[in-house]
Amino acid sequence: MEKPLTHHIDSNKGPLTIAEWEAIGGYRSLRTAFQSAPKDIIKMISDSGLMGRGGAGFNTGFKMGAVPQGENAPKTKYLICNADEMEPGTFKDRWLLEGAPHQLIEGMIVAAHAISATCAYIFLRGEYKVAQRALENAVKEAYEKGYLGKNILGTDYSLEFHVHMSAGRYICGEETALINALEGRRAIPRAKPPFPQTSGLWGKPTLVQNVETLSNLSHIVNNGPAWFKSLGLANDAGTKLFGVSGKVKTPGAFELPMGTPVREIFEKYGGGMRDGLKFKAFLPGGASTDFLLESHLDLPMEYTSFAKAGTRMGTGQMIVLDDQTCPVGMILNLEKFFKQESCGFCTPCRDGLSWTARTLDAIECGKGEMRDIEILQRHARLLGPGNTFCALAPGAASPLATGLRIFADEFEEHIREKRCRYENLHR
Amino acid sequence: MKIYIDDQPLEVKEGQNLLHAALSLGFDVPYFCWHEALGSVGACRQCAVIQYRDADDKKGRLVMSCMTPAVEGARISIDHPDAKSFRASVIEWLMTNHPHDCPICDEGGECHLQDMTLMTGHNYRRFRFNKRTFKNQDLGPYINHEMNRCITCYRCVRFYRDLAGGTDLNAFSSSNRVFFGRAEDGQLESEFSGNLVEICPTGVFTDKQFKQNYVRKWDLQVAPSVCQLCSLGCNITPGERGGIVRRIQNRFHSEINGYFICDKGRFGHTFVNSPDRLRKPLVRASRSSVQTETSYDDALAGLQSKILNAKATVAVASTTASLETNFALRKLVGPDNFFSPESQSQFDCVQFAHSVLQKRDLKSASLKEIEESDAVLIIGEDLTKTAPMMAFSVRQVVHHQAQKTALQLQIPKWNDAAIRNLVTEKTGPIFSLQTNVTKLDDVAEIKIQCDVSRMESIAAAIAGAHSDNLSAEDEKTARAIAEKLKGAQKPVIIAGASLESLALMKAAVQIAQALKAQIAFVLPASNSLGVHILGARSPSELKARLGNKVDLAIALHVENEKCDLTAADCIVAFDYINGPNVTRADIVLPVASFAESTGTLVNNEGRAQRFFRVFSPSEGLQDAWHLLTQIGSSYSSINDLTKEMASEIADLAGLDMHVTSSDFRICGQKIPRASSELSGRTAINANKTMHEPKPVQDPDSPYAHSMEGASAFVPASQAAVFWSPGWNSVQSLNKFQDEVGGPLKGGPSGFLLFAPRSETL
Amino acid sequence: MQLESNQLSQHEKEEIDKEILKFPIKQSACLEALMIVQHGRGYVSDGMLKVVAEYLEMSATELDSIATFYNLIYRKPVGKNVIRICDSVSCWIMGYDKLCAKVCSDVGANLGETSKDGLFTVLPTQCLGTCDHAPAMLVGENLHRDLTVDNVTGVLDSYRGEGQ
Repeated sequence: MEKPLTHHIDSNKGPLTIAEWEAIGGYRSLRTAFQSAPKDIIKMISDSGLMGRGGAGFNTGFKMGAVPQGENAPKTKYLICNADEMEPGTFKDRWLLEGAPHQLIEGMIVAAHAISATCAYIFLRGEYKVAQRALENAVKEAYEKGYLGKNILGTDYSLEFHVHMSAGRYICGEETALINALEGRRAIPRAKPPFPQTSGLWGKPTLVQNVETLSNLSHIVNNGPAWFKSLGLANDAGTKLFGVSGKVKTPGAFELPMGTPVREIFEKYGGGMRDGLKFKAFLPGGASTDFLLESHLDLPMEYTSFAKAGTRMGTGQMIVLDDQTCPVGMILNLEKFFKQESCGFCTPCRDGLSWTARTLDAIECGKGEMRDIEILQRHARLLGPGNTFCALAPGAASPLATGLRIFADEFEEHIREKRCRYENLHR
Repeated sequence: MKIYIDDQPLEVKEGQNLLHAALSLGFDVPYFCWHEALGSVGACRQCAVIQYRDADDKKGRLVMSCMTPAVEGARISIDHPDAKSFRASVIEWLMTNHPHDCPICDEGGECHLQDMTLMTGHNYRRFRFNKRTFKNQDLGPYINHEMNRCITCYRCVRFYRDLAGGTDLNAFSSSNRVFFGRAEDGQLESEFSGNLVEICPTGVFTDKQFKQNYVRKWDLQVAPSVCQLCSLGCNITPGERGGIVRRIQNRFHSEINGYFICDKGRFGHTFVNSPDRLRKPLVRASRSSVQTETSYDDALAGLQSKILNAKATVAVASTTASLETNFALRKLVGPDNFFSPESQSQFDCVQFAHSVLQKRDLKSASLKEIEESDAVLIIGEDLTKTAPMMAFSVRQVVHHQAQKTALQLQIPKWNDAAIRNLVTEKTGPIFSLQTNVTKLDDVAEIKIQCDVSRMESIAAAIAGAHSDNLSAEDEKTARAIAEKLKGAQKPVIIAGASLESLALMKAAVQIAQALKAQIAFVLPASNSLGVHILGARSPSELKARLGNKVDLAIALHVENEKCDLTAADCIVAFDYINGPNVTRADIVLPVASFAESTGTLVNNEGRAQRFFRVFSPSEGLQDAWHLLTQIGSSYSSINDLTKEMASEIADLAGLDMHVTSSDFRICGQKIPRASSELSGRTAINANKTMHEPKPVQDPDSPYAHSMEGASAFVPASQAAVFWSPGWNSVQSLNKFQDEVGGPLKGGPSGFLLFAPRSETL
Repeated sequence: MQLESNQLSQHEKEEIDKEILKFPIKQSACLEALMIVQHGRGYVSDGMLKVVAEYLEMSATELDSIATFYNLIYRKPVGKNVIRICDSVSCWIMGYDKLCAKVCSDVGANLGETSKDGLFTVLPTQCLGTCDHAPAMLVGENLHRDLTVDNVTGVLDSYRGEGQ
């Protein structure tokens, strides 16, 4: 099985040096990329079917194509790598950042060249200190080798490159909030339109992409779009870093073909439930996704199949709920997270999530009232896309809406019995 | 273009967002964070409506009307149950933390949150948890801070930082702990901080000075007035009850102050209530004796006899008194004896400005035109101090230019945040020559700090004249400024009398003439131009006159002016407030303050504006012109005086046709100065007498000192009370503009005396 | 460390200047500047906030508005070691509640507090991105994972002996 993103990563050793990376073909893609016109590279990436790996799943080539090019376009343009991994249950970018910094840098140079960017930033989580050291070191090596800076590989293309550490806050993972954070401002998102490709960092055309997305680019350039398409098992192209967390036997991150059945990821790689525990439900890709059931385990894990099933794959790293963990407590934990991470700009998220979290807290502590269910359902419905300023609250509404439906009887029991039946197991 | 609101086809102009369009058409759509002057950001989510893709789309989706452009064929529904339900939910969310303060909150009765709550119909509390609370800050003597009431609409910081350029108010923290305040307690530094009390839709920021004499809005008596504290003539609405001016609010004028006034105008009214107000006439037998109280009849009789017997009389005008008052004085003593109170160099400057305006070949820029200018040259005027709202207007030039840039990327001009993200440059095409550091320095692309003589050389160089004593660098800068001005479509040249340099003003005019640019003069006082229009003679002539025997010197508003009349045998002072100059007078005749009198002022543009008395002065106080005309000829109302003035003074021709006549009635009724909810009208005097007194008559205006009068069809530019059903707050203004943000229905008030001949306004 | 309480050290200025070079606008380096100050002093005091604001030519209000948005910037004094325990969903499933209680009792401080000996401040944190080794926590910059109520004491003890 091909694992282009991770086969060279040895978690025990540390990242490959630039020499080691070059030895296995690293930075080769730059030569190909620089010999092609930017629009051809963008077409190649579109044709490959690469979809954004941050969770939104938008066709990367199309996104790149929206950056204005040509003589009338602004000269200053930015490429930003969104390395602010903070979606609960998500731990894939860390693997790539700590293990393969050059793979990312190479992919970023390909992308930057394709959109004629003049400067690139990696917006890295402040907590990822190991990754910071790996990346800063790799950037230094790349500058020394002439892959970054002025006149790369003797061409007239120059690229300034910086690693920026974030100062916290989940909302910074939202691309427009990230841009504000990088500008040294409060990380409130921006309304779209205008899109970052039109007006982004300091008002200039900007492309923001996830770590995993960018890490794929050098391989697509080296091997071609058809190869990338061939790696997928169902509709979507390429491989994906999936993962399993929760009370399974072997939690971890796994690079597998797009479209691998969920069940395979869960049982073969995640090892299935620990002894003595039963599978109850799962969130397929981080806290902002729906609760799914046993029947969904047969879905191919990819954006398209999940969309067809009326849900979303998100980051593709599943969180498993076992039968001895309180679902109400889990939903409370999720909503408390979102409430705390709300930037505070729009009313429904700021005041609605606070109400939601406190209601759930009351229910979990045995102080719930029957009308609370209706209030929670109303919030799950009203905090939808378009009703709020950004996608944080709709993300919070996903597990809430599905959880209220799937675990309706457990909610009612908490309220009726005025206690949590799992309380001895947790507290 | 045509849009459909609940299936009703309607015509709207291009370039608007749906909220602006709907409000302009008269629909009631609730909103908080949107404001005409601030643009849209889409934060509060209150203005939600349902938008349909096309005629076949039956489902539609929720959109925020303030963030959605009105395009040809757009179909929305305001009344859709989902939209109504969502809007009610927004209020419900805001109410989860909002304290139930209404009975003790200053905003109550003119609170936008109250209005919007009623409009959405939310009325039942389901939230049963505790509310989040904050510690308030002491923001100084003018602004009260009550953060628990905050609905996090972000209007305050957007106004303060983006429009007013303030740096000491901001948002702190995140989530539902967002706090608006300063880094630490302390007086707000911006000269425009007072606008926070009107821009805040709830009672977070309220008028702290008003708190000392607080009264509910509906109990106030109001009238259209004009601020008298600088030459811009911003329109204001003072509010009174019980003989005390309680507070001043902005009165919208599309061409001058728009939605905002400066803190001087807003808070600088306490002198009206001051114990130093003169209430009783005073006389003294000789310079060595003490002033004693007397009656008006005796004082006027004494003055009349002095006038009859005087062989040499001088009268000193006041640059803060109305045209009518100054004219009455002029009439009393004759034009030859009518002098300006200014210093000679000030006089020369204002005289020069007057002569330039009289020529009518240069247009005087309104504040609105300054905002929309694409190049502004400021010569020797620290606007933040001398004409604060002009400084405010100059600040907006930067954003207006950014709006133009954004339009090239199809970003509409109301998409405020997008425009501010696109253009990160804080400076704009503003060129400033000053003698010191000013608060506008942060927006000026080119700024020079120098002494007056160097400034004169630079200004002359910009005008094209060569000066030998100009350094190479100054020459270069002058040329750069000249080039930028030449390349602009709507340049404005601002100059004034502050530095008392005629050379600077001449250079400004030369530059304006060369570029066919608009000129904006900053004058020392609210009626400086008026005094010159009335032909007041120069201070040097007054000095010469005082060198010989002068029997009688009559002066208006002596405390505001600095001339020394002690050489005259008898000094008569007409003034409203006591002070060192008043104690030097031999006869003192108290007059009404601006809030208690009616008159006309001419602002720096040459716009004649009438201010109307808000409440009747107590204890026999009268308008100064009224007292003066009792000695000479008498008039039944100010109408006749204005008419005579207009026929006698060339510059004022037609003035009487352009100010609201005191005879103006609506179906025979006067315009009320108070809302119909004014309380205690009969009870308020019950401790003195059981009989309800006859309402005080006001022969000089179409306004009644009462809530009785015309309740409908009051033209917006004449209205005193701006109330509309469901709109008790200042947001009711929307209903009185043809288009939200545009002039009041019926057109902007005021009469431009020096309009270029082709224009009618 | 010889740091003046209301002055940037030469080293801090140099570090901040390096960050400023990464941006076209000086003020954009404000978060980096605050982290540099915090790195040497543990937290950003009111006094140092004003100093940094002045150095970057912004008002203190402006800078504090930005600083208070972000959770990695401490505007109150903290202990020698800041413990940040992940309380997001995967760590919660894997035993955050019991772990947190143990850490708090071991250290002698509740969430949001500093221990009396000044050694530890305990704070919750969002998902640390190591969910397959939950529960996890940061102590300063160091990530500790696969924690249990049994092994966490050892982890904490390793910070007690040191000077820092």
